[in-house]
Order: sequence, then structure tokens, then C-alpha cells
Amino acid sequence: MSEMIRFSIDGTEVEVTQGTTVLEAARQEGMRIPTLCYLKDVNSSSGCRLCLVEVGPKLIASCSLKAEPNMRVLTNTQKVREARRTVLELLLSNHKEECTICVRGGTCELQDLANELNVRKRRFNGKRVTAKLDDLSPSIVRDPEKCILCGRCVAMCSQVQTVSAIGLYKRGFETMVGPAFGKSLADSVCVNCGQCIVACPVGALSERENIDDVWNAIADPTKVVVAQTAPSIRVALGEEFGRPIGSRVTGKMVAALKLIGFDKVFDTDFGADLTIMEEGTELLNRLTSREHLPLMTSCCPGWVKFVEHNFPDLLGNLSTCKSPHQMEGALIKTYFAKKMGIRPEQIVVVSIMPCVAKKFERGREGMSRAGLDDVDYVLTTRELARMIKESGVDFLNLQDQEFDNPFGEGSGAGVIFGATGGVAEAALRTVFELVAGTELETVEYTSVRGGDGIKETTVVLPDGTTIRTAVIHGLGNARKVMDMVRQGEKSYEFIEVMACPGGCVTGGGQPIVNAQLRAEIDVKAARARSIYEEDRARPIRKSHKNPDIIRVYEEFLGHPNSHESHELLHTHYVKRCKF
Amino acid sequence: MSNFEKRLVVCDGTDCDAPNAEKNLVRVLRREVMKVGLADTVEIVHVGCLSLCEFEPLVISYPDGVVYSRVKATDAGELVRTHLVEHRTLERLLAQTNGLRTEQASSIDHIPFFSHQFRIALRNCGIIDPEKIQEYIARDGYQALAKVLTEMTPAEVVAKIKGSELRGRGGAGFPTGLKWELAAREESSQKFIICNADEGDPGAFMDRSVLESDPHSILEAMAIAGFALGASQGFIYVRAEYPVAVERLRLGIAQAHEYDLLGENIFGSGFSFDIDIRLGAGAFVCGEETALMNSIEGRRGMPNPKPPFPATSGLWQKPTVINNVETLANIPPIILRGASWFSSIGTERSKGTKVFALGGKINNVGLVEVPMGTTLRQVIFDIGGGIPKGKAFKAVQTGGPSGGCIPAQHLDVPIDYDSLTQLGSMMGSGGMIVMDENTCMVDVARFYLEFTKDESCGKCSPCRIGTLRMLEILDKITRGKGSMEDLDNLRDLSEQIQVASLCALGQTAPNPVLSTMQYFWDEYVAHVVEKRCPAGVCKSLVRYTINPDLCRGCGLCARECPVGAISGELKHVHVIHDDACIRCGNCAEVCNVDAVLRG
Amino acid sequence: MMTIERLRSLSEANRQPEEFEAVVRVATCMATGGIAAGSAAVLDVLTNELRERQHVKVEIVRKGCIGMCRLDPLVDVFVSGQGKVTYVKMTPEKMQRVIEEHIFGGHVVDEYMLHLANGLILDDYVVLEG
Ligand SMILES: Cc1cc2nc3c(=O)[nH]c(=O)nc-3n(C[C@H](O)[C@H](O)[C@H](O)COP(=O)(O)O)c2cc1C
Ligand code: SF4
Ligand code: SF4
Ligand code: FES
Repeated sequence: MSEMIRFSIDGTEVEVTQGTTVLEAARQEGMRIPTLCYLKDVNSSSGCRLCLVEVGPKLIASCSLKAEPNMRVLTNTQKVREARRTVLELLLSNHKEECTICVRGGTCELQDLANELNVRKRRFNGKRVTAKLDDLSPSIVRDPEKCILCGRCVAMCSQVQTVSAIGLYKRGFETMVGPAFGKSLADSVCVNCGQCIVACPVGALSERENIDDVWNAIADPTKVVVAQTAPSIRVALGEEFGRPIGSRVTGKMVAALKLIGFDKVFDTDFGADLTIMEEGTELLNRLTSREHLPLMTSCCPGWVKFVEHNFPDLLGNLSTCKSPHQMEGALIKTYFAKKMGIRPEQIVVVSIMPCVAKKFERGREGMSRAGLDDVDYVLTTRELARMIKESGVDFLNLQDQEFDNPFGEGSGAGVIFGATGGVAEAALRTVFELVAGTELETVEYTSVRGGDGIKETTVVLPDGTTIRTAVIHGLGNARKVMDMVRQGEKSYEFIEVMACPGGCVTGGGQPIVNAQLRAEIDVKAARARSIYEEDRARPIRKSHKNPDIIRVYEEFLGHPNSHESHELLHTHYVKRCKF
Repeated sequence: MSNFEKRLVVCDGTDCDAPNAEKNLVRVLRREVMKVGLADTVEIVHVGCLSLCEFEPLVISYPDGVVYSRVKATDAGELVRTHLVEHRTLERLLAQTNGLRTEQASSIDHIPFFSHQFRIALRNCGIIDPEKIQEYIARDGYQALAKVLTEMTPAEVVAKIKGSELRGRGGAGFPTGLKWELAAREESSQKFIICNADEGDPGAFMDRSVLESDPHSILEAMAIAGFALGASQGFIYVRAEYPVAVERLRLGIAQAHEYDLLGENIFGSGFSFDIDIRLGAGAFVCGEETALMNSIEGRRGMPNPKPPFPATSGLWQKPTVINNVETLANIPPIILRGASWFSSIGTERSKGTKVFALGGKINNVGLVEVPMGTTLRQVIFDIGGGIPKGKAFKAVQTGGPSGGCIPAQHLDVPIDYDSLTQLGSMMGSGGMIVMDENTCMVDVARFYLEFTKDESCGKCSPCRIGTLRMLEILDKITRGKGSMEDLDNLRDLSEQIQVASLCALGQTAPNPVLSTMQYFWDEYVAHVVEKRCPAGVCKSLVRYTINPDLCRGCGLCARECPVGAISGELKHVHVIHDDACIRCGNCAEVCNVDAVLRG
Repeated sequence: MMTIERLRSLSEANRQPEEFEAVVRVATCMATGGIAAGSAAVLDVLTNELRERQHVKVEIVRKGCIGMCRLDPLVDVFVSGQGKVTYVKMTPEKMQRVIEEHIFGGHVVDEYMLHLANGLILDDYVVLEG
């Protein structure tokens, strides 16, 4: 049991559990202390100095200061206000001001703070850091001149994700965030998860935008522009239009896509169901041959690249399945094209994803056939919102619409791909029934749900085969488990990994949630809740029961892992260097 | 090597003030030496000031050491003939005849520089062979460790150090005994003691001296600390730029192992202790204890917020004591001679001695160890021999880049932690830079700030950006572009950086600015209001003019001006054209009648 | 194992006798300041010379910094019955002469000692030109 501590903030007696920081305690009491470098569970390096409070004769950063009995904290004195404001003025004096045209206009924490702390003039002027924009990566753009060195991205990348593609370099005023030796992210071990983007309080990190590419395609009368949306877009897009975190806006999303000019709007849930068919079959085959176990999921391109850099010896364990949107893209350009009687070259596939790694993935070798890419552009949830806003669509008042056929039907199993554990649960639903040959009563595997970074469950199939499953989100957790697997300390048959902490619902392409809100709300839980609601609302909850899926196999692919499906739906991996 | 058998050293205190005058004596002496055919065996050199202005020009003959004083150019011939050819002393000019007391010191110990010192930390420095553990042992080395391990409990050791009232010599002056007690109190399977030998203060070299000259005193002290805290492992974090120190420490550790003074079961007490060396890459901030620990753990050397303090959560989150080299060097004598012996030395709240590195405009540059409470005047004038060239003392900078400048009116303040802090400076690691009347205090502030700005680790915003903004304002002021508003902003920024920065580097970086603003405000105002640098240092503010009352129209200045900015007819008053002047100062140096004014 | 008794006897055995008996002890500063000033070369002369003469009664001590590096290289010579003599700003040539005259000849080389005038150190000069 943790002990309780009594101390005072601004004269109010408060009681908190031991280990609580002064910042957390103040927030519990509803007092607002500005922060900038602090990001709950990610960074508390106390470098920005905005959260200073007065304790005795000193000003101390409240974000890392643990409350002590009888401590007397003052959060709103002249001394505190002056120090905070000076610090902010200094930060602004070294910030590239492009506020009016910045991608983070409206979601910039620095701008909010300047307003909040009432900074109305520039007292300090002088040299600013100059550095080159890094836009060589297909996923992420870095503008070091906007960086305020809060260190949130670095903590995310190195501590949480253990990727360490970016770090702090040089010293003093010249300090810079970026890959070692001034390299581009494109030439680094960056896995493109984009968690740095959603960690960044300002516009120093953002996705490589493809909005104009898509507008151009839509404007081109010779093109059939097809959108497909990942499961987690529908539970996040609403936030961009002021809806609470986790609001479900599926029908409005489809309506908006059609309104802004997409010819067809498909659900990537279909691709997810297809993935389950292929991957489930692959799992059953490997369980029989006992080769390359554990089978590791491959639907997350961040995770795939992480394996390629860090565990090249385990590449054979990765499922050869493409990720759902790539599978769906491949089918759109073949099956759908044939069905509709249009030439594949005419089709432009745009994937709306919660993810920036998929921008990288779509350009990977093996993601095209006969010179035609499975997917032409990947847009993030944020980019889609910007397009909708640019079009002047009154999003919140749209009439709901349905996805188009033939890839409009997705099962509940496909939907839950958006949440961590979803792939494993979907796979188990299908694999179990395939082996049992009978209908399953309970479809919900709750043991793989929830926020824990590493979850384990063991399922015994009707034929007696056990599937020991690990469900992991966040690459730091993945590294831990993989190290144990490598050492032989742990064995599994099946491992699901999502690179982003929280899975796709909190992917690097999702709406920005500022640090303050992130500390108050469990964003991943809120969005995942809606995902599971949608699953429950679906009439069909297992991939192999999806009639569209059944039809595709009947009409086109034959059976899972057939020659045709290997051609279209599977891929291969490469070893990459460790640094 | 030179073939010269003799050397005549000419000193007339004119090395920068009037080069022409001295050249005469040197030139004439050379000519005379040539005349008598000794040019190949007698070397004549012109040297910097020896601070014996009233007796100058001086000619000292080496190696015999005969000193002639008040030698005029017209004496040169006679001096050369008598002294060099006839090998007699020229009584008439002999320094003694003029009242100068000359002597040859058979032992260096007797000169005032040493006789006023009181050496505890430096007790063995320059006395023993640092590479021989036997010599350390011969001077009671490791007796303190023996005593601690065989006669005392850890609590008694802590109590003794507390009783001595020793305070940390690394800068902040935290009571060492208390620090040990806090760490000793922690329950932990593993604890560490770290010796901070990063010594990043520019100009300070006392820690290097101790490590190079008496390494075993540190090893012994660390073992004692280890016993007191319950730590079995120590680290010495020493900068890689100190190769000799590192070598001596390595050797020392090996010898101590050989003699079973480190390792398992020392003195059969059951106490085991070992020491490893970690090399620092030389960033100033790595001397800050939390940055130092990050560096040892293999991370970027950046400070962490405190609390938690190292005593509760230090190296690898284990309770850790970090002590400075000089602090540790005091430990064995305290154990052997007693807490009350130590606390009888010094002032009310600062006990023992402190080592200072004297530098700047002072005659005896060097390391000195004096009891706390010695006045600045005693250190600077009695031990340090005062200011060269008879110049006036203006200020002394203590505490390195974290310290401040103390003006003449406070010369009689007894030095201790609190008095220096009260004066807006600090003890710091013991750097003491003396400044004479020709120093511009704004420029001094600028100099120190440039250092801290370069050494800021970049982690926290006030220090990372603020020190640069301060430097930019100071630049502006020294270039004559400053305003009174800039001074306000500078002061405000300084005060905010002090309170808002994460570590003591940023928290103390403004001290040189604030202390010079406090004591030399007029100089700042002169820079911004009158656009004038009173000391004539800030190039853009110096103006050279010729005093018509003194100018004799010799034309020397016009000839020496590299850009032809001086005009005037021979025997008539000359004029400097300010727009052409590049402020090199040649004219002022060459003028024989001091008619060129700088200001 | 090290014991207190052993430490004490080691201490006794290594203590410098007040009066040297036919022993000459030569000490040079071998800390950074001394090394920078050239004390290694001075030390070399001494070691080579002594090796040549196969003189065993001279002990060479490499010592640390006394804090006045501007007078380096410093050489202390202790000859039995005479106490310590400090030579400053030594060179290999000067060392040669000290070996001849002082260590083996018994005569102190006054000229190389510290020169003082009114307590100020004259040898501590900086050559401006020459
Ligand atoms: C920027 C900075 C540099 C420091 N450098 C040193 C150093 O070089 N050596 C040192 O002993 N202490 C240095 N300190 C002080 C240490 O943080 C620490 O207080 C000290 O080592 C504690 O030892 P003491 O209690 O024995 O003085 C530095 C502090 C700061 C803020
Ligand atoms: S890029 Fe963004 S998150 Fe990273 S340090 Fe800079 S401002 Fe912070
Ligand atoms: S005060 Fe300076 S050196 Fe210290 S943490 Fe801040 S930036 Fe780094
Ligand atoms: S220092 Fe606490 S939020 Fe940055």
C-alpha cells in the first residue's frame, strides 16, 4: 500500500499518494500549471522550465518534483509568473515563426502557451538556429528550426520505442534533435511509426503530406479515385471537428469522402478479414510443420522495419502477408478492376490510415505488380480532416452513408484490427472455428484486450494444439519480448505486435491530442472502446463469415495461401543495418 | 640549446607602455657587448615587468644573479666593461647600493609565496614521489584508513567528518559530513563514492596538482568514505585532458592493490573496496554531479533535476556520494589529527584551508593553500606579490565562470564561503583571477558569459537560449550600440536565468554580469550613454586623440599608424582622424611623451 | 595482508632521515607543469650521468607540483648535512653543472638558486624579446 502524503498547494491542503508529482497533484486539484516538455509516461526531463513552482526560496520544476510531507508549494506568485514568461519569451526568440502557415496551426502547444501566459511583445531578439529541412523520408518531415528542444520525441523514440533513430546532438544553443551525424531520417533506423509527430508540441515534426497529390488525382477525369479507410479512422476523425475523443463517425466519414470527390469508398476492414484468412491459414500450416514459430504478425509496417533492423535473424518468423490495405489495394487493381471493366492504370488507390509508416510501406519493393503500385497514396487521418475542411464540408451535419461494394463489408473481426490485440483476437476467432469445424459460442477473447503493453494468452484448439499468444504494443515492449524469445526464455506460437503504443487507434497519423489532455484521458482506451462497440454492432463478427470474403475466394483467389493469393497478397522482407 | 654563457636580463617595466624607451637600453647594451667582442657569449634579453618599478631599469646578470638598478643608457658601456670584461661588480649601480634587498634563497620554502601558506590538502605535493606508495606511507599515508578500519565504526567516521565541519571544495560548499550521513542512512545493497576530478573551471588546476603529486591521498580518502557509507566501489571521474593524473591514479590503484590497501578484506577488517577510473570528455557541465553520473552511465552528459539528490538516488539509482578531489584530500588528516584540530582552523562557518589558483594580473602566479579567513589582500599582495608594473588593483574574480568580481573596497574581507557569496561571488573551485586598472569590467562579464554560453549543455531553455541572449546584449553594449533598456533587460534576464535554470551552471552563469553591474555600474552606463569604454578595452568604443598640450610634433605616431589616420607637420601638433582610425593603439604605444589619449 | 604493524614499519623504513648519510637525494617536479617546462630532459641528464658513473648513493625522486610552475623545472638537491637546495628554471646544461659541482663536488651552485629582490622573485621573468 502506498502511503498518503499531505502538503499544501497555494495554501490548500492536499492529500496524494506517495510518489505523486507536484504537477499531478495540482492537476488533481484542478489547478493548471503550464507544461511543455512534460509528456505523461514519456518525458519528464524538466528541461523546458515552464512548470516552475515556488518551494521555499527556490523555483523547482513541478513535473519531476515528488510531493513531500508538509511541502508548501506556490504555483501563482509574481516570481513564478515572471520566470515562466521569461522562459517562454526565450523559447519564442529562437522559434521559426510560420504560425500562419504551420501544419500545427491550432494544435500548437507553444502558441497556446504564449497566449495563456500573456506574452504580447518580443523582448529578446537575436540569433536563431538555422538548419536544413529534412523531407527525404516518405513518412516524416523534420523542421529543426521549429524545434523547441523539449525532448519529447527523443524520449518517445529512444525510451518508449527503443528505436533511437533521433537523439540530441551538439551542445548549448547549437543543440539539435535528429539522427546521428546530421543524416536524414530516411537513412536512419527510423521505423516511421510517427510517434514523434504526435509527441511533438509544435510543427517541428509532421507527416509528409500527400494532399495535393490526391487533389490532383480527383481533379483528373480519367482517373477512378478509390479510398479505403482503416478501422481506426472512424473513431478519431470526429476529434478534428470538435467531437470528444473516441467518437464514432463512420457514416459521416464515408459521406465526406464521397462529397470531396472520391469515386468509391471501401472499408479496409475487408482487407483485414482477408489478412485473417491468409495469416490464419499460414499459422495453421506452421503449427503443423512446426517451422518458423512463433508466427509474427506483419500488418504493422513500423514493426516490420523494426524487425528488419534489429532482429534480422527472425525475418522468417514474420508472416508473409501484406498489411490489410496493401492486400485490398492489390485486389482493387485486379479483382475490382476486372469486375468493373476498368483498366487498372486508371485506378488511384488512396489509403486513409492512422499511420505514417504506411506511406513508407506503399513504396516498398514487393508492393506493386507489373509496375502498378497496390496503393498510390496514403493519407493520415489528419490529412483527411484537412481536405474535408478545405472543401468546406459541414462534417458534423452530414447524413451517414454506407461503404461501397464489393469491399464495403467488413466483419467485426476486421474492425478490431484498430485496437491492440485485435489481430490476435480476430485470428483466434477464425482459426478456432476452422479447426473445430463448428460455430463458436463466445467470440470475444478479452484476455488480449486492454492497455497492458504485453499480454499473454493460451488457446487450446479443439484438436489439442496450443497456441501461446503474446500481444504487444509499443516497440520497447516488443524488444523486451523478442529478446526473451531469442534467449529462449519465452516461447510462443503467435505474436501480434503493433509498433505504436496503444495500437493503430493511437497511431502516428491520428489527430493530435495535446499533452495536457493526454495526461487526463486514456486516449487509446477511449478510441478502442468505440472500436469494440463497432465490432459488437456488426452482424458478422468473424472474418471467414464475411460474404464478400467468401465471394472473393470463390470468384478469384481460390483458397487462402493459393498461388494467386501469394502473387497478390504476400510479400518478403530485407535485412537492414542496425545503425 | 643556446651557446650563450651569460645572460643580461633587462627590465624597465616598459614592455607595453613605451617600447621605444627600453629599446634604447637593450640596443645600447647589445652594441657595447658587440664592441668588446662578447656578442656570441652574452645574450641580452628584454623581459616583462618584475614589479620593482622604483628601481627600474634593472639589469640582472645570470647566472651569477648580480642585480643592477636604475641603469641608464649612458651607463651601458661602463657596465659591460666592468662586469663582463673585468669580471668585477659595478658597485655604483649595484642594486644593494640603491637600497634593494637582494638575496638568493637556498630553499624555495623560505620565500613569502610559500611561507604564508598552510598546507593540508597539498601537504605532500612537491614533497613525495607520487609514483612511490612507500613515500606516501612514510608520511603517514594509509594510517587514517588503518585507524578507521580497525578502531572506528562507520558512524564514528561520519561523526568525525561532521565534527570537522569540512565543506565541499568543489563549489557549493555543502557540508561533507552531512552528505556522507545522508547516504550512509540509506538502505541499499549497493552504494557508490565518486571522486569528482573533472576540474572544468578555466584557470583552476588544484585538483590536477593533487592527483599528479599525491594520488594516494585521494585513494585513501575514497576508501575511508566507502567504509563510512557502506560502499564497496568508487569511481574517479577525471578529465581525459589530464593524462599524467590518469597515469598516476592507475599506478596508484595498482600499488594499493599490491599492498592490500585496496581490494578484499582490507586490514583484515572484512571491508572490501575498489576504485575504477572513468574518463570525462572535458565538457564543463560534466563536473555537475548529475551530469557526471549520466556520463558515467554512458548517457549524454546532461544534468537531471534535483531532487532526487545523489545521496538517495545517484549512480544507477543507488545512493552515491560525490566529492571533489580537494575535499577528499582533507579527509586523512582529519581522521589522524582530529575533527577539532581541523575545525580550529578557519572561520566561524568555513573550516580548514582552501587552495587557490592565482592568475591574471598578479606577480606570483601559482597555487596557494591558505586558511579560510585569510583576506583577499593577504592572498593577492602578501603571497601573490601584488599587481605587476605597479598598476592599481581593480577587482578579483573568484569562483570561475560561476563567480563574480570583487572590487577593491572589499579586499579586506576574510575569504570564506559565505563572505564571497555575500559579495555576489562564490568560492567555486578556487580560481582567483586578479584584474588591474586596465581591465574593462563589461568586457570581463562578456568573457565569462561567452564561456558559459559555450558550455551550456542545451537541456534547459533559460540557460540554452538565455545565455546567448545575454551575450548578445553585452556584445551590443561593448560595440557601443547598447541602450539603458538593454541594461534593464540584461539585469532582468540575468535574474530570471538564475532562478529558472535547471542546474547550477545556468543558475550561476549570470553572476559575473550581476556582480560587475553591482560594483561597476558606472562603467556600464559609460558604455551605453557616453559610448565610452573607460578602461580603453572595448575596441569600438576607444577613441584615440592627441593632447595638443603635450604633443611635440615628433611625427612618430604618424609614421607608426598603419592606415595613415594621423596628420600634422613636423614640430606641430598632430591630429588623429577618427573615421580612418582602426583603433590599433600603435600611436599611444609609440608616443614618447604620452600625448595620445585613449578613452 | 596489510596490517597496522606492517604499515607502521613500512612507514618507518621509508621515512626520510633528517640527516642523509652520504646520500644525495635529487627531486624534480614531474607533474604537468614541470613536464611542460622540460623536467624530463633534466631528469634524463641526471639518470644518464649517474648510470655512467655507476653512482649508487644518489637517489632520484620524481615529485609532484609545489604550485609555482613558472619556475619549473625545479630541482631540489639534498646533500647530507646541508639540507635542501632548490634550483629553478633548470636546463640539461645547468643540471650537468649541478651534478659536477654540487652533487659530486659538494659546492652549491648559487647562481641557479632562486634570486630574490625585496622578496620578489627575479627568476620569474617572461622574455619579451631577445
Ligand atoms: C557546471 C558545474 C560544473 C562543476 N564542475 C565541478 C568540477 O569540475 N569539480 C568538482 O569537484 N565539482 C564540480 N561541480 C560541483 C559538483 O556538482 C558537486 O557539487 C561537487 O563535486 C560536490 O563535491 P564537494 O561536496 O566535495 O564539493 C560543478 C558544478 C556545476 C554546476
Ligand atoms: S522535434 Fe518536437 S518533440 Fe522533438 S524536441 Fe523538437 S519540439 Fe520537442
Ligand atoms: S542550466 Fe544549462 S547546463 Fe544546466 S541543465 Fe540547463 S542548459 Fe544544461
Ligand atoms: S520542465 Fe516541467 S514541463 Fe518542462
